Amino acid sequence: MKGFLAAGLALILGATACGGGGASGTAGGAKQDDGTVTLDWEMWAGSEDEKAQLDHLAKLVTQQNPKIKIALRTAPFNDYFTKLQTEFAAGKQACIVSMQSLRLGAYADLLEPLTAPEGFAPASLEALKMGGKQLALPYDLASMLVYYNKDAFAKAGLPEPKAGWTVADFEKAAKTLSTGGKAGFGMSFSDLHTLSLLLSYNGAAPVTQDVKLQLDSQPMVDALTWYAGLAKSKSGSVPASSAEGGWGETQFVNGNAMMAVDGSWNLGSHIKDAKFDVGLAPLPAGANGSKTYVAGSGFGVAKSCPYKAEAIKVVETLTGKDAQAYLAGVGRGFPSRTEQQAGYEEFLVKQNAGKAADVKAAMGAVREGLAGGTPLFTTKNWDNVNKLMAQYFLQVYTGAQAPKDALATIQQQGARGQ
Amino acid sequence: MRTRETWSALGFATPSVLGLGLFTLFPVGMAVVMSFFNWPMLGGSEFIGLDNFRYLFGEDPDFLAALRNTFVFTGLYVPLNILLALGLAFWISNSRWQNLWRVLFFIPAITPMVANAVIFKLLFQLVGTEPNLLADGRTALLSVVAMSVWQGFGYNMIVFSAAINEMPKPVLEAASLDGATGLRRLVSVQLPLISPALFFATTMTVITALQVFTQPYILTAGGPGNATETLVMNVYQAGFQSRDLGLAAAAAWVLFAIILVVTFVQFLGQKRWVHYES
Repeated sequence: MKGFLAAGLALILGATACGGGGASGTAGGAKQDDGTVTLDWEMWAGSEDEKAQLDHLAKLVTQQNPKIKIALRTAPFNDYFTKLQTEFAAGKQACIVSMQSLRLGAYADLLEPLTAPEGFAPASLEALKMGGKQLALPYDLASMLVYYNKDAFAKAGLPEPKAGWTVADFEKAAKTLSTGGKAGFGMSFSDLHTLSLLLSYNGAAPVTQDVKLQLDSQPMVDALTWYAGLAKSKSGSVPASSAEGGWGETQFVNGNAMMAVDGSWNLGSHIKDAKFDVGLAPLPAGANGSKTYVAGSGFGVAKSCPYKAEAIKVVETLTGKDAQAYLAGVGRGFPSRTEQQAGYEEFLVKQNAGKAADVKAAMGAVREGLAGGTPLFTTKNWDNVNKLMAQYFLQVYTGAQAPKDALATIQQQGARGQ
Repeated sequence: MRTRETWSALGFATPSVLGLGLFTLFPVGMAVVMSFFNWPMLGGSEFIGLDNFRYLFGEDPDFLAALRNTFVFTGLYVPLNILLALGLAFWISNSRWQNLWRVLFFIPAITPMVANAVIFKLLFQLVGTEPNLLADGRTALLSVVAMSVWQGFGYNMIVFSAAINEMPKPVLEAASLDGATGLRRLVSVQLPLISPALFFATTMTVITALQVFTQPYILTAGGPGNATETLVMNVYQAGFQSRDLGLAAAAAWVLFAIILVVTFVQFLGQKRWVHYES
């Protein structure tokens, strides 16, 4: 039956796409007559700048491996995983597949296990592992942080958050800063943003060790009850609808919320965009100290790739020292290789002239966060779980549903296909 | 001569027949087949009979809610849309600025729906209720209806406006000589005269209403809870988030069947109230 569909698809595609001309090969790569291998690389890119960076990396691959050429294909991040899964379904996947740690669950069976070279931050490797297998090599690493409005803290006479601050300190700050139509804290229902704070609060984890949902567990109920309490006590700003995935951080940058949890990947842009001084701190410590989930992105090799040895070389170059130094230099993200992390800090200092002290403190918070970080492993149907959290957490925040009932609903619906 | 004509006819018809077959009939037939399979986007498929339909109507807690929401949406959206479009069409028919009003009221219909929805999201935020109208299960669907009516009435208004301008003058004159004015004139003369346009507009509006997706997807993402989940959102979610193409095909077929039945009933009913002779 699937063959029938494939034949139909091939017929349709055959009408629009042209063949590989003078090369032999199957999905994802082709070998020229002179022995040069051209490999497809699928990656997300949202702007011409980002695409230019990727083109630079593709050239770097050919420089270091003269027999390998890269054919880069890009899609905006929001469409990337839809495109990727469709390509896999149609057998048109690239050899080199870019992967984000939170999406790994759905692709675990389709990626070739790799061996990690030396030099990576352990957490970055851990984030791209599943079932003990290294499914991709990381190029960046991110942790969650509390972004805060320094001006507002100064005005309210509150001590600024710093490493070691507690959930009680956080609650007090959120309450005090909620005045004059502004909220102390911008709430969220996005996975990393919300679940990291719940983790720091009491260690509540959405999935078990063997990656099965446990949203209805008692610690989760307690933690969500606490989080929703921020709305009840008018310390937190509730998202305006289930479609507001980036509510907390948007409200923060707009100056409507004085604190928000957001990823370290937005460090540069928030410091630049906000019309006030931005401070950063690790997540407030609950009973077991400050915790955060870490996430990262990297490159893997499709199992179906006909030129695996070459593809592995490409991934090693793309995550190698030169590529990492280049990406850090253009501020693409916090590098996964420890040696190149200083380069990223230099970029941020250069970009934010006159705010060197802010950047240095921020980077300190990032390192602090990564030290207490654990990867968030996700189920195969994580997209679905995310959607359910958006719909049902909102009901909890507005007081329309009890935390226990909402979590039970998500658990029940998310159990299918996990 | 006859064979030559036949060959030319074939030549002209072949591209569209091929296109129709390849891009419409083949996918439609494929969807029927897929609805009887467990067909994940990644990995192999297996025949499971009616299990997808059983899951939709028996176990899926969202599907029945989506069905209910879709009907509520249609029940509110279609009458509001038609009444507003009809009222404005009659109103501007006497204005010397008729063409200006037509353009103004048509603008929402031709602006991209996503942009409209985003602007409305900001408007709902400005209203500043606690909780937001879109975050409250009691008002979320109503807010989606309000935005949709604003977006959608312009098209029907143009259709009605054209029909009103085409009403035969002698009939209207005869009616006024007979003393038909006001409401009487509207109900017994004018509405029957434009009844073909009314039929076309209601039929098409019901179909698009049953397929509503963009407005709730952008405004509320189905939330809070499942207060604004619609059938097409359910299909999209099953196909592209749960990657269960068989389930998505089954849900799509349920929607197709509903639209078919509703449209069929409307066509049956038109004998009673639609007058094509002028």
